[in-house]
Amino acid sequence: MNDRIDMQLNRLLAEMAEAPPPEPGEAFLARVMADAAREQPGAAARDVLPGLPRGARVLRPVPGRSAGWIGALAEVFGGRGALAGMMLATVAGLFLGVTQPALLTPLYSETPLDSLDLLSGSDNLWTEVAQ
Amino acid sequence: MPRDTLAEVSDDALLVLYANGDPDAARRLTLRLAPRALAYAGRLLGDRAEAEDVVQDALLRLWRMAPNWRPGEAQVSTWLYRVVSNLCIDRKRAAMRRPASALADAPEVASGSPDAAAQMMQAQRMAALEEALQALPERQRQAVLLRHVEGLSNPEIAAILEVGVEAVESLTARGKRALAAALSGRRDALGYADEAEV
Repeated sequence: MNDRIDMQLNRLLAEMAEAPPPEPGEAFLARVMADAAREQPGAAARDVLPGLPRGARVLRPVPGRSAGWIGALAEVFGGRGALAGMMLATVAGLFLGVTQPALLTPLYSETPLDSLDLLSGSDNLWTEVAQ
Repeated sequence: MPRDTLAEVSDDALLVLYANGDPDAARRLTLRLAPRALAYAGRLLGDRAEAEDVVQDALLRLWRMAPNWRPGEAQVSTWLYRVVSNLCIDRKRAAMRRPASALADAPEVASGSPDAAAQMMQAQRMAALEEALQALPERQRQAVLLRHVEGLSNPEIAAILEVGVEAVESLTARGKRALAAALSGRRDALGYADEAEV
């Protein structure tokens, strides 16, 4: 008796499982889509800028960064590291301009470049190889 | 993203696409998840309109947590089943217990043909089963539906109900025993009265 009831119950549950799930109605879908559009990141910006396409990413200020003119200038140069590099190069240029270091000409004018021999033994080496 | 490409995208990825502003991801995800969620909520609550409210609420929570979703940590469908389960429990607790209306709500089928008779008998069986399911304790009903109707594994059900696997086995077994007891007195309604004894 119990086995038969179990079998019938299993058959009933299987019938229920095989029944196609209900298709969501249009009204239900419209409500869900309205929720999704409202909650989608960037939705507030689209309300302010209605022309902004729905897929557009909205840049937001990064917390913890200074919003002063130095921060704005750093953003223009691509970050604080890039700004520091540019400032270092500027200072170096100013330093060279102000101090006007001696020209390098005296260093090479004493030894003419056409008489400079960087590999003094290479002629002998080539001769031995040729023999 | 083209629709044919989105069809192969996982639920996880669709949710991330939604969080990144993809205009089509929410609709694709809803069409993929809502039918089963509606069926499950409908069987838990016994009311289609209430089921729609619950699923809409569950999906709203999904949209809100999309930016913080961590792909690979949990399945979106499992998460949704859990939220729907909890929302249904909340509704059941808040509302006065309604008399089961499944039999009254059974669709009317034109009589006169063998097909119509068979359809009517099947509708009667489903109504009887739904009525018996409604009479089960909440957790047992959820466990039986998730195991035997939604076809989920015991570990998946354990994650949804937030209990251990052994507790799921116990809930399912007790639920089925109670269902069998409830239906044993209604064999005529199930159309099995004339079956031979085994």
